[in-house]
Amino acid sequence: MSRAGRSLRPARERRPVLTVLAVAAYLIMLGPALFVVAVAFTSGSTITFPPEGFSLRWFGAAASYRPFLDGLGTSALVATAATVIALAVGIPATLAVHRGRLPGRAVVQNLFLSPIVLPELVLGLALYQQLMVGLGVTASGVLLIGHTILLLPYAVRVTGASLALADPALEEAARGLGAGPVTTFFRVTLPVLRPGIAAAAVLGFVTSFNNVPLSLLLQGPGTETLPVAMLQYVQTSYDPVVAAVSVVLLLAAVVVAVVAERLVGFNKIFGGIGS
Amino acid sequence: MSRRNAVLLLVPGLALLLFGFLVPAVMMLLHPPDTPALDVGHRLAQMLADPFMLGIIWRTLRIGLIVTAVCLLLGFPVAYLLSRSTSRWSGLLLALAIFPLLLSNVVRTYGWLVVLGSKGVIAQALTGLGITDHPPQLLYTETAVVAGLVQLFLPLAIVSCYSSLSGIEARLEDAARGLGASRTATFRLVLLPLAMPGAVVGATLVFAGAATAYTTPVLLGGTRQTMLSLQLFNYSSVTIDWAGASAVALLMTALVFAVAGASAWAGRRRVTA
Amino acid sequence: MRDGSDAVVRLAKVSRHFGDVAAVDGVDLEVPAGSLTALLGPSGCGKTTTLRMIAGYEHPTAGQIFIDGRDATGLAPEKRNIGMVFQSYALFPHLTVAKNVGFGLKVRGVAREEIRRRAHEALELVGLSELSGRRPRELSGGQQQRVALARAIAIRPSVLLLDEPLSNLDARLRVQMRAELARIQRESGITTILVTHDQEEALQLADQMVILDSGRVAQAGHPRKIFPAPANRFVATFLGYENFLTLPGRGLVTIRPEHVAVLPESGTAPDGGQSRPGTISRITYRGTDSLVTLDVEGDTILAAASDPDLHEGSRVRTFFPDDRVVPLAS
Repeated sequence: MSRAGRSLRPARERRPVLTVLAVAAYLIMLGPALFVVAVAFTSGSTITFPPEGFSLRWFGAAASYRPFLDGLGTSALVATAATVIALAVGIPATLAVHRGRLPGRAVVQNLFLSPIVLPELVLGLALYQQLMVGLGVTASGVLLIGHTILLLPYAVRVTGASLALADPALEEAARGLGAGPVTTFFRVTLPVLRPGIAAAAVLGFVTSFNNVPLSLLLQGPGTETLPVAMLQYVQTSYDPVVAAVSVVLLLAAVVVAVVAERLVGFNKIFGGIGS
Repeated sequence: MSRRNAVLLLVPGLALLLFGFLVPAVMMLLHPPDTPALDVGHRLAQMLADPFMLGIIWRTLRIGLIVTAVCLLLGFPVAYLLSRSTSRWSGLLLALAIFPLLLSNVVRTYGWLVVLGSKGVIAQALTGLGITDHPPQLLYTETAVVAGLVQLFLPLAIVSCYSSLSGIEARLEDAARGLGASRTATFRLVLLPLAMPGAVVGATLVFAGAATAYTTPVLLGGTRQTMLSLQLFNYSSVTIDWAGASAVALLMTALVFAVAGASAWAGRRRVTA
Repeated sequence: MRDGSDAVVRLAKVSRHFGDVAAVDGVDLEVPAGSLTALLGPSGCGKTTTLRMIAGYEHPTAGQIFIDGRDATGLAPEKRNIGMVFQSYALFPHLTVAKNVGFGLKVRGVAREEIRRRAHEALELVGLSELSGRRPRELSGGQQQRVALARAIAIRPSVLLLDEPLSNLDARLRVQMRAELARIQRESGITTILVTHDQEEALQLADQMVILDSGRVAQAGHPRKIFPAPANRFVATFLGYENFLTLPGRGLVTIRPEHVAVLPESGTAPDGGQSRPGTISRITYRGTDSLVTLDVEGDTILAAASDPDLHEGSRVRTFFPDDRVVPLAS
């Protein structure tokens, strides 16, 4: 047999078409962000490329612009609260669905996942119309409800995936060793679920923090989130302040990614979004 | 766990879903504030007879489909190469593809203002190279919206395709090649049918996101390239036309469901054919 | 309520129905103190459900379960003082080996020093005291198995329940662990119930063997009593008997291949048994002897023979000694 005939496929087969398309994909995904970083350090006063000179003036401008600071506070608060509530409500529901031998558990599970199929803007409209205008619930209350509903499917799905992987005999073993149901939950179930809960928490926080449609429709006095403040700023002004904020958020995202990698694995947490 | 305890654990979540999701969503259609009952249906009928509105629906559908097609065209190769790579860099490259999901749509879309703006990267490049003194209007076009949405949803397409591709053994392709199938035939006869479920999921998610996105069309398309999402915001927050907003919400949701159903059906047919 | 018997575990007419299906159907069982009882049967015979009812993970739809003389029928698992070893071992992945073994003592409020001492003791019994700081995922399958055993023993349970404990080990390790299990049970003297589908395992370990068929007890007793005298065809088949035939005056019988004699067609029949004409359909050489497959008037009979003159296709006379033939209930 000839040498060439030995391997069906050369070790490094060239795939020029696929490679070109893949490179284009990465350029489109990451390219614009790189230009934003460059523009953030301009000393000029418009979005111009290449940037005119180098300065940190736009970072200073961003840091002294009240709506951004207030928005940051609001976003962090809403994201934290919504994540905590979604987990506090979602984890018990997950347990009931996976361990409860309920009739029609698939229906219950799908019910908890259902908010994800509704466009966010539509969910926002429904809550705005019915709860805020219709029932007179405060903007901050409705904002929190909306974000919690938004995160609930993630909380249920991610912790559920983690629970489905866990051996149900673990809980039985704890019971057999003398632990009651409550002790079993805190000493065994919760620790075993910890990676799933961490993943759901990171995912939930990021999703809520970045959300625009809900936050935009449900804004009231004192409930403008950072992304909404940025969106409204970009719509009215053409200076590079938002580029500076973007760079800060980019760095924060890098930190989140590193933390996520340490906790559970970055690709594991965020790679599950599309499946 | 006893059945009673299980039900107790479900109560808070079910209450939240009921009060914060199901009831408002249904009431939004049945009875928007300050409107007579069944007005939403009436408005919907009006919209479906209004050429202006039909134009918006068509543009929404068109942009959604184009974005989905481009995302799959670019995302599938990335997912394929990553899933077949043995390089130690492949994990990092996958992470780079996922990373944009951590950033707000505002931040991600803002980059296109720098690229497509009147003094942006492309315009400056064109004048700088002496190609033209009057660079064409790039911003506030449908192309700009498509570019922005493709950037937004490529990670989703990549992740969906990757999760199904990484479950397909590379040896299956070797087997097909060994049996005499060309590279294209292997792709068409082995890889594509097996990767189809993931691609269908990805396509559905991308379309649902692209057709209902607000941030990107409002920043890159402006008021001339209006889509259903912009119309919904306009009715609910500018003209305060509750029935109109509800009707647009229904249209938007129906569009997403119809395309999701169609792609699931097409995916099944492709696999069984 | 005491039941008055000295059995550690007693089942009285216990049944478990899932809808219309009876997984366990009127099982009576007594497990004497210090004994090792094996619940044996093919998958789906109800052995695991029976064990899970004793542990309290399933509840009988009828009948009563007594542990240490007390009615435990409706008791939660944590109130029964049982030591269960799961097929999957179910070691807590977030706890070290020592913490796993000490878990049952900790939830009982035992003092920390005492927990450490008893966990160490249990780990020593299974020969793993040097691995107490490891996590379960850092252990081999055999080691995980020992930790699961130590964890169950550490609480000094009334009864040790083993659910197919060796089925996840490879063949060599299984034989080794089987001997180890016998030693540990003997040394600790803990009353033990073992669920298995492996008859060899049950024969080697058990003082009492309970063979289940479709949720009912097909036969129970000491292995030495049951093995030579299976009560019916199901038990015989399960224990590895392959020859089944009907002999005049004896009804349906079984016999082990090494007890079937293959004689020349023409010779005279010996006394003390019945002989039948047969044809050799196949001879499989096995080293010390050959396994001869015979067609005896339509029944397929296996015989172990070392006569080199036998050939496939030869007509012979088969002989079934009366004292070797096991009559079966039909």
